[in-house]
Amino acid sequence: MAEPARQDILDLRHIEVAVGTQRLLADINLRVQSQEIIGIIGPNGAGKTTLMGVIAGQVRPSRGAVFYQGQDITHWPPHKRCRAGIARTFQIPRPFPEMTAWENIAIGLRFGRPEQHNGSSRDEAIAFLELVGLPHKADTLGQDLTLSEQRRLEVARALATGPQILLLDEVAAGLSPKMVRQVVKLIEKLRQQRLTLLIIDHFLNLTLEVSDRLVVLDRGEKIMEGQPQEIICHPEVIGAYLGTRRAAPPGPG
Amino acid sequence: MFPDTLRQFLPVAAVVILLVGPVLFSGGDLYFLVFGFACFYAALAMAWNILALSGLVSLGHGAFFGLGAYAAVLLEHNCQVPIYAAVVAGGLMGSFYGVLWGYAFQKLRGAYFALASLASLEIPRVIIDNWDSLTGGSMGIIGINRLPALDFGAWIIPVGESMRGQYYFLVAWMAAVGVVHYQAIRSRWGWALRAMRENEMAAGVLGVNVFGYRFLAMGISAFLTGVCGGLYAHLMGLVEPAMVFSVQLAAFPLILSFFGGRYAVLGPMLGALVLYPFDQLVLQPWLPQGHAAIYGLVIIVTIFFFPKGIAAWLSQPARTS
Repeated sequence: MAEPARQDILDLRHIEVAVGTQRLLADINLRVQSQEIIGIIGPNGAGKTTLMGVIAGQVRPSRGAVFYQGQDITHWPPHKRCRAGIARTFQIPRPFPEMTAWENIAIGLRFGRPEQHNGSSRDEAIAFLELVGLPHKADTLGQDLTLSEQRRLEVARALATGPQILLLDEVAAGLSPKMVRQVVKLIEKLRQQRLTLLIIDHFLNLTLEVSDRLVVLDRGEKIMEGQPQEIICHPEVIGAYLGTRRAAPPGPG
Repeated sequence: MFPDTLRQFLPVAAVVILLVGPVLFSGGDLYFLVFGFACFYAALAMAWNILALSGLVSLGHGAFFGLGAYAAVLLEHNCQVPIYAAVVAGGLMGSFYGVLWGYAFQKLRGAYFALASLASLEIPRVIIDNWDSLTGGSMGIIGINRLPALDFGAWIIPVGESMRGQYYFLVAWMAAVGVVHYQAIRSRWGWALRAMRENEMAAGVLGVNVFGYRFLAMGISAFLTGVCGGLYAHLMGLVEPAMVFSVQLAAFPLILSFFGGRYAVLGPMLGALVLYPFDQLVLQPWLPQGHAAIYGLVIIVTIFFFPKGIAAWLSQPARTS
């Protein structure tokens, strides 16, 4: 890999998360450059979502430190990280159920930006709904949206906070292939807007297609990191996904 | 439910009735007394609701109420603090205890918070019950001075001297708390409270300072409840632990707010102004022994049949502009 010409936006150092006797993450080190798109893959229970929680502030690491743009943010509360430019979505969507879609976005506009933003208008919010193809749902309550609409609302809401780095947790889960194409398009658009992205997804194809770099987690440990094409053929990765006995090269498609 | 013009007309009509109505009832003091206390309980309900808007249902607001009452009375008796200043100090005492809750219970939600709040209602009660030398113990304190007249130059409100003065004073107090309650729904702070009660983790991720805004709600809610306590002691002329630190008193604002509509600007106020006079003027003469059972019944019926409270009937279904 080339030496970083751009500054590290995120630097995780020796992150460990332990709950009781169980270690969810063990000694994770990860440097993310600005404007990079990183895919995090790994089987269920590998600690992918926990890692996102550590970055966005929902999970306190029991050891290690999180640096963001050169600052130690390990002990920052979530809202402070959000205003500094870290946004995330949730695997299981968390809409504000009794707010309309545009009001959901308005919360991000009003509170998520570094400057005080008071009179965010409906039109401003709808511009973000358009990004994810939901402008016609502006006046639907959060609880009345379908699961896939709620997922897209999560993305729009996170973007409304004006992030530098966006963590996408399973955005394409449960979407039709057509909508997955839309997600890929959206990610390409975000790349052009110079966002840094961290993507978790079970759709390996999507992750492979958009990522500059892949990180593989298994049972709380980082087992590999590198270019998507070399990672995906690596026996250890295949072993983690399929079990070691069936460590054969993947067939086409 | 109602046509637009009628919806806009209703609040105006309510204000007119509140200000002029009791004058028309030449039946006199009973009506001033009952509607005055309805306004008092409206203020208490709104004070409670300011915390409830953040998503925490408290069963222990009687603690702030009682601490406010005792602090006001003791400061006035022992330190000769002017009555209204002592009442404000009572509010500060309440918010001091509220700040302790804010730290100690910051991780508790739902039923766990409700139980913790209920338990912390008992702590000051037991202390005051047993600290005979300072508080008079379980006998309480009697012969508390009435609230002095408020002198605004041209306008003098004889608060403690006539039922009418007391009534207008309590209408004004309700209006003052109403302004804060309005802010807790419609301001930026109100949006933060709404976001955290609908989904706290999402609120944090979107930049809402959950702890800070809830702490503010806790402090203000406890302060206003404490002031209500101080006023209550002076309105009643006596204070005793069982009276102010009671679960009934702690649950009362909850019932009024649920009945009126917890998330509506006018909800808790409406609940108090409808339910309390109905209880006192209709039910009590008819059923002097068991009239208070209505409150238990009301809460059950409300939760089952109109969980958004009666205020929802005045507004359009679940849309805000």
